[in-house]
Amino acid sequence: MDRSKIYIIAGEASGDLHGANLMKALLNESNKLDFRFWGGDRMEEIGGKPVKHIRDLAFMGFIEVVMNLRTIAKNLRFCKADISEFKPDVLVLIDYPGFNLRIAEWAKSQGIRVAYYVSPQVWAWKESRVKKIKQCVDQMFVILPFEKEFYKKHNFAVEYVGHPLLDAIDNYRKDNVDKSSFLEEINPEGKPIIAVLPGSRKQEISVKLPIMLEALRDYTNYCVVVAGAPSLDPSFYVPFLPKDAKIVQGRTYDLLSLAEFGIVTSGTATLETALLGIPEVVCYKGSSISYQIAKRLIKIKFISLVNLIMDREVVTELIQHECNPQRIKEEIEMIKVGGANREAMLNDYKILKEILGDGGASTKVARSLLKTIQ
Amino acid sequence: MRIGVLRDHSIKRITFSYNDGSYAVFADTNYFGLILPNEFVELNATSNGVVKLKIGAQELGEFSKVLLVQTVVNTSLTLTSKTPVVKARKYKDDFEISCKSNALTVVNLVEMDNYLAGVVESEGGGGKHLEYYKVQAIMSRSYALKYLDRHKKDDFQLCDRVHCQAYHNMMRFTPIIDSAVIQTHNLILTDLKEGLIDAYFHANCGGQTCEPQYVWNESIPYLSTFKDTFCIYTKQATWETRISQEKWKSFLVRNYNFPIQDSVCADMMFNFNQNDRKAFYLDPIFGIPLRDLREEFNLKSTYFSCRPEGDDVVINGRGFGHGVGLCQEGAMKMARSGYDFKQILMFYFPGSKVIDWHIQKVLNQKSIGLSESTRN
Repeated sequence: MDRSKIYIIAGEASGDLHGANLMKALLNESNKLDFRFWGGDRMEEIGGKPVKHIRDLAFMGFIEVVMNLRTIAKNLRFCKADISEFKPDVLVLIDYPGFNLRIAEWAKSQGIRVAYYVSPQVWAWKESRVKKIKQCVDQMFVILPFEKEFYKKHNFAVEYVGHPLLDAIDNYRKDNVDKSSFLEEINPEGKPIIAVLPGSRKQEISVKLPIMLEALRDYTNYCVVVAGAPSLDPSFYVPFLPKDAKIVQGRTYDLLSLAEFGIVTSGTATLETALLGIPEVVCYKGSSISYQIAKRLIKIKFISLVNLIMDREVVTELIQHECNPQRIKEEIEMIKVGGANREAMLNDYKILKEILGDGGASTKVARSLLKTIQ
Repeated sequence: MRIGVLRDHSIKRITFSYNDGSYAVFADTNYFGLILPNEFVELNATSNGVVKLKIGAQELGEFSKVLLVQTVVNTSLTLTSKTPVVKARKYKDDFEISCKSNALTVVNLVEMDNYLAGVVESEGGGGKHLEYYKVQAIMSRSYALKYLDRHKKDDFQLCDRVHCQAYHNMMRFTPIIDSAVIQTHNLILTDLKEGLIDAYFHANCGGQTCEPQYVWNESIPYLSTFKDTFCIYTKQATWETRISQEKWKSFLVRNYNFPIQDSVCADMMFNFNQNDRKAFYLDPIFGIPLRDLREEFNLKSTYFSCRPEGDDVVINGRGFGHGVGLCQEGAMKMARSGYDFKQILMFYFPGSKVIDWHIQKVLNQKSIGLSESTRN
């Protein structure tokens, strides 16, 4: 059998994680594959040096990662030339719609098969992009259960593969990393741990972290540990941290799995926390203009993926003026050990896992891709 | 230093003529005499990668490399490109000319101080205070040392374009620049760990410098934004322009799916107030980097506010240039006000320090992030 050529584009850290798991799954199915890809360190471990590393691609944004037009144009030119030279059997685009939708449009015009894994969140905003997706994408793999229904309303058949985080967390559990020295390092006194996840962008951390830490000021019989973003220097956090709070980087799953509960910034972290079985309070606070505009433009009932998937409030979302130390403290009292909501939340997490299924997203995508190209 | 000159052009034919001193002409292993007053050499590119050499009207043959070597130090030649026609330039010290891809590669083999003097005059212009020129000399020296390998594949170190540092001529009109270069001999700007820094500069910050990550996707610790009142009364501190609302709207809708169907957002589209510098137009939620607007509409800076008026958007802006690092007009004002070069550099690069790199190299015997070319 001839070798198959697969070109993958992941433009940011989450895409790098999903891309790496996908490459692993593809190699499990076939050893006659050649990859060429844009990605990060995780994909590099599987497939060698990327054509472009994600560190050269990100620009801070709000809902999505934003690039400026000149960078987009330069990268598009380069990417098109590179894809043309490689002549892939399929182009796999992972999230990162600001760039990937533009490449999809071009690839389609060149007769290249386009698969999109992790749909842009068109169900939340900029729904007009659905038209372009329908025109340019041959195979769409969605990871949230309600996305299939959303696309059905637009007469576009997609494959629901489950959330790849299930695989990521499953792999994490299987690796069974010894956490004893980590625990000793961050919590020598053996207190119960509170995990604080304030986000990955400087602006959001500057606003939310002080509020979160203020809420925890009286919890002196707990060990408070902040999960630092890998992209930021630890020195950025120093002005915010009280002397007994600790910070860890690159060990968020370890931290969460050892925590009694978490205070989590809205985003994918809320789902990861739930899948690791840790009760949480979700916080969001942006500028009041951003919030008002978001309310007008973004058509969703909840901000955390947990609640969106369950279609009801499983984890409390403290948004804007509700995101204050007093309210956070009130919610902590409900979810800490002995709290009134803790058991119910943990039970709801079990239902969440049932809804999401048994994982294997990467394998499902891999098999489906290979079926169409081989 | 090996500086590639006239890099904006594909030079097919060029003359090197007497300016001062005298120059010996070497071609491969041959010596062909001197360029004396009123004399010149002419070099032509060929399609087979060799240089055709003429001295005056006399054709001397084809060679892989031509060297023009001064016989007395600190002299110069006039370079005049004939094909294409480019305004004549003067450069000091020696020259090496070869041919690649049917075009001439002209490399100025120039002493660091002469190179820096040319850069400082090209970048800063004439008529400024000595302390300002010292600032510019240190920044340019630091940049040159940090990026000496930038054009390794082209067989020289740096080019004469803004891509490296503008080096349009030797220093010609401002002798005080030579003093600035000599008085700051070996001084460079480093971060606190003594790694060479990127000493960015721009014409005018408009009263507030810009975060690097608003411009170049990366955060640089010694370059956070701050207020600068030294430049706010200068000519380039403020500007105004008008763009048609149709063009403005079309750009926002086409590139960012701007939600004009929403009445509140539609009202916001032409109204923007920027008291402190921002990264995004209106609000980050729309994902419209200000630098995109600057490029599309050729605005002088990203530090602007706007409002609708008639069929236009009236844009009131501050500053000129990207706004990161040293504000040239602010630095010039500081120099005129009596601040010395160290104070000016510390003001614009607060997380940095000025060191003598030769002394530091000897004392510490460690690399300070210089490119390979300077380590040996």
